Amino acid sequence: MYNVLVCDDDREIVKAIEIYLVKENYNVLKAYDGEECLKILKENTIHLIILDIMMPKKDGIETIEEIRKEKSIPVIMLSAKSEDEDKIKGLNLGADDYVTKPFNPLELIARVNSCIRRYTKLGSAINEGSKNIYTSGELIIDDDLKKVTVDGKEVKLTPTEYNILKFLTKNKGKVYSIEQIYENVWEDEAYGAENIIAVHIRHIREKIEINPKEPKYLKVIWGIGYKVEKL
Amino acid sequence: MRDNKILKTISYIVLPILILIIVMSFAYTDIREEYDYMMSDSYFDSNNFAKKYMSNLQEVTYDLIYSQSDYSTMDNKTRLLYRTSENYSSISLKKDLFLVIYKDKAITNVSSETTIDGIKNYINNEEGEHLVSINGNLKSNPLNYYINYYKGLLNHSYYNNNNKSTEVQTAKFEDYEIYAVYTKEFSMENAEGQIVSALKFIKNYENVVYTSIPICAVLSIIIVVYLIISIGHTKGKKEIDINDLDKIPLEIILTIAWLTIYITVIVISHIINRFFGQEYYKLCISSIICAYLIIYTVVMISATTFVKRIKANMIVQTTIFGKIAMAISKLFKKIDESSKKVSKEISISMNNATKLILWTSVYIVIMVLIVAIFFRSIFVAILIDACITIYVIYQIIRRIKSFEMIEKHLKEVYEGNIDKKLNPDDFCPEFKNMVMYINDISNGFENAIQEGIKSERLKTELITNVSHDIKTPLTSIINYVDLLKQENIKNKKAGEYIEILENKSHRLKRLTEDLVEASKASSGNVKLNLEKIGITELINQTTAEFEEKFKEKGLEIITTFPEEETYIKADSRYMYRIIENSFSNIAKYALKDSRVYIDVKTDINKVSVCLKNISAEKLNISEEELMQRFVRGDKSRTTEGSGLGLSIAKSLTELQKGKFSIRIDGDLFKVELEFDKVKA
Repeated sequence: MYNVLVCDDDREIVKAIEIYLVKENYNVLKAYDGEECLKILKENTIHLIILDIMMPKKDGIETIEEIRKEKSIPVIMLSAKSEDEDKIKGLNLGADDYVTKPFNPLELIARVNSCIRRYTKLGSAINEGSKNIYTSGELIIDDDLKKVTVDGKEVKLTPTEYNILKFLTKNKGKVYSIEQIYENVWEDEAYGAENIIAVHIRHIREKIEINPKEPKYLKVIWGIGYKVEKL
Repeated sequence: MRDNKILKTISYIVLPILILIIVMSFAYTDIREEYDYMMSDSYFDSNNFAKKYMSNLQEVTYDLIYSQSDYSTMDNKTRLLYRTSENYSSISLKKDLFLVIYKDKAITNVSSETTIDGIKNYINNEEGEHLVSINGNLKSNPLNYYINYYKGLLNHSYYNNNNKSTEVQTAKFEDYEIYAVYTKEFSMENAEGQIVSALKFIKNYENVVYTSIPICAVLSIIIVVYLIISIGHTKGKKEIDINDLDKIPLEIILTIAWLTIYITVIVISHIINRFFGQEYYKLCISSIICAYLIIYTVVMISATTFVKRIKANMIVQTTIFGKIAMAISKLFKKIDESSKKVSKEISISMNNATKLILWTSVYIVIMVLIVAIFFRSIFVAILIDACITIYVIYQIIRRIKSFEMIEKHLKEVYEGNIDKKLNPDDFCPEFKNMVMYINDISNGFENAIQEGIKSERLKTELITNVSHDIKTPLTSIINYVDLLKQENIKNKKAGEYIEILENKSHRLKRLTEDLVEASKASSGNVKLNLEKIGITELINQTTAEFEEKFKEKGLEIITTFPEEETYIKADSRYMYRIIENSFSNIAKYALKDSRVYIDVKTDINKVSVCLKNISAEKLNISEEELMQRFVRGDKSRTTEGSGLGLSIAKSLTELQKGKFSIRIDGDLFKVELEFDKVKA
């Protein structure tokens, strides 16, 4: 049983999140402003915090600054502010994830699961020794077993999808156009195959990302190509 | 401090003394070198003294040999010549008596005795250093070995005028009989002795003299500064104290002062030339001091009044030159004013054309007049005429320039560059009002534009804030609808209602998101991150995203791309938004199982993208209307979508300097995009 602290000044939202989390077998603690959040954090063992930004007394920004002074537990920011600047600010202050309101409950739960898994189980588990393992953050491709795991969860990919993902992860950080990907993966000249590749990549994204529209690992650079983020 | 009378008086008295000390000290250091050898105690035993003493004796022997007359006969054998001490003074000793005998003549400066023997005795009995030489034998010699060296000085050849003939004879040291006595002490009777004794005295305190120079200099600077600060300030008065002297023109005071100093210097230099070096040295010194005090007083008086005038700021009024200058400038001002008045009156009563005619005739008249006045020297007339003409042309050119500047500025304003302002001072008086009006107009423009930008920004901010406020309750709605759906509800109707709630709440979510985006895009409140983007790549990527949606509707995509990838400069994410919105429009409104054509065409510097599809509904709506916000192809507004998609796409396209247009041709719906091409 992991303890999740949910902090939002809107009591109904906190309650809804609690319902979802309890279904997933989490123990939920509730706070309705920043000060209360810090108080509960001091008195209990918390494994993850879901933190709203706009709150009375102490807002989410101040609260996360306080938290980060002492603790490295995962924090998911939850806010109605959907501008890029807000997201960047939150993540730079030490948030592990940023979810905008109104959110898809399933997505929030998935992100909570991912964060918890990373915080509690992963980290030392990655065996970097073998040459045939390619990683980016929590995305791990074991080329010997032809196995792909994200946040410790195995993902089933078709051979084509696997080859594309392996190629991009091997060269993580670099952007490849559809044509380049085709030529590298099939070692053949690309002709009219562009769309197929793009569809494959969308499928991969849907399988490995929590929210395919805001991908974490396999990013789309519109009009330029695709890349696997260097994490 | 400033108005302390005693302090001032002391300063006035101390200052000359300090200056005197400085001058004297410098003089001492200067003279000292000259008199250095005379000041040492061993001077009387030195080579120098011996030389001087011997040259004195030589002079005496000259007198003795060449003198022909005026011998008072003391005894028969010897004729005796007296000599007073003042003719004999290359060194002035306290006691210096001598008797020189040559053949049957003798010379002495002892006047109390009348016989040779008497004089001999007198000299022998006097106390002091005795020098006696008889026929070349030095019997007594205080000058030690030096005398042998200088003995030769007493040898001379001379012409002896006998009655019969002139013959050259030689007198030698051995021919003289010399009796002399002197003291090793300077005479205080004349200037040299005084100077030497004074210098001797000062030498003991030389360090004091040297240190006194800087001390006195610093002190006198302090006093001068103090005086400059305090001059003119008296107790109980704020203003500078002005007396009658300060009202006399400065030039007069300076002239008088200069004359006084000049006369004093001349008089003093005459006195010194005349009397210095003799017994009148007391007169010299007292007159020098007198002159010094006179010069000091004159300088101080003129300096004081000068400083006072500067302080009271009346230097111009109290000088003749300043008064003349002021009078001239007043005259000029008057002339200027009256001419302005006249020209103003004229300009009111006349329009520009008559003014031009008037000025032209004035110009011609002046030209003719000058020629008439200077008809004798036509060259001068031409020169003056040329100068005037050049001036007139310069004025005309200035006005033309002003006109051109205004025209240029107006063109810029017309083109929308309203930040620039004209400076009325740069223009000729005729244009000043015009320039001011133009500035006012562009200011008005600028304000209007600023206002517009401000209100647009406020609107965006308002929309953003409202959407934040809507999002929070919306979160709860969506979450609880979802929770409700998970409850096991057996009532079929309730299930249907929940379904509707879910759809509508999601639409509301999309609407709020699109609303913020639309207001931002239309107000230009977006940060663009421009990079090189491949159009074909982008369309392929987007098609992949929509693959399933298109498949659902049975839409077939037919693309026509150029052989080479074509690039444009744009923001990658916003570019995707534009294509995505157009695609989702197609996905929503295209006729089922129809074909969608996507063409990318390029020419030399443009890239155009054309999306064509067949509308499912009748498009009884104009293109302009369709582009407006919240307008959708189906007026009933039942399908999903906010009606903002095309509007956002258009705004974003225009922000990236592209063109976005739609065409409706029957059921054919066409979206056309155009961007500037960038080299691969």
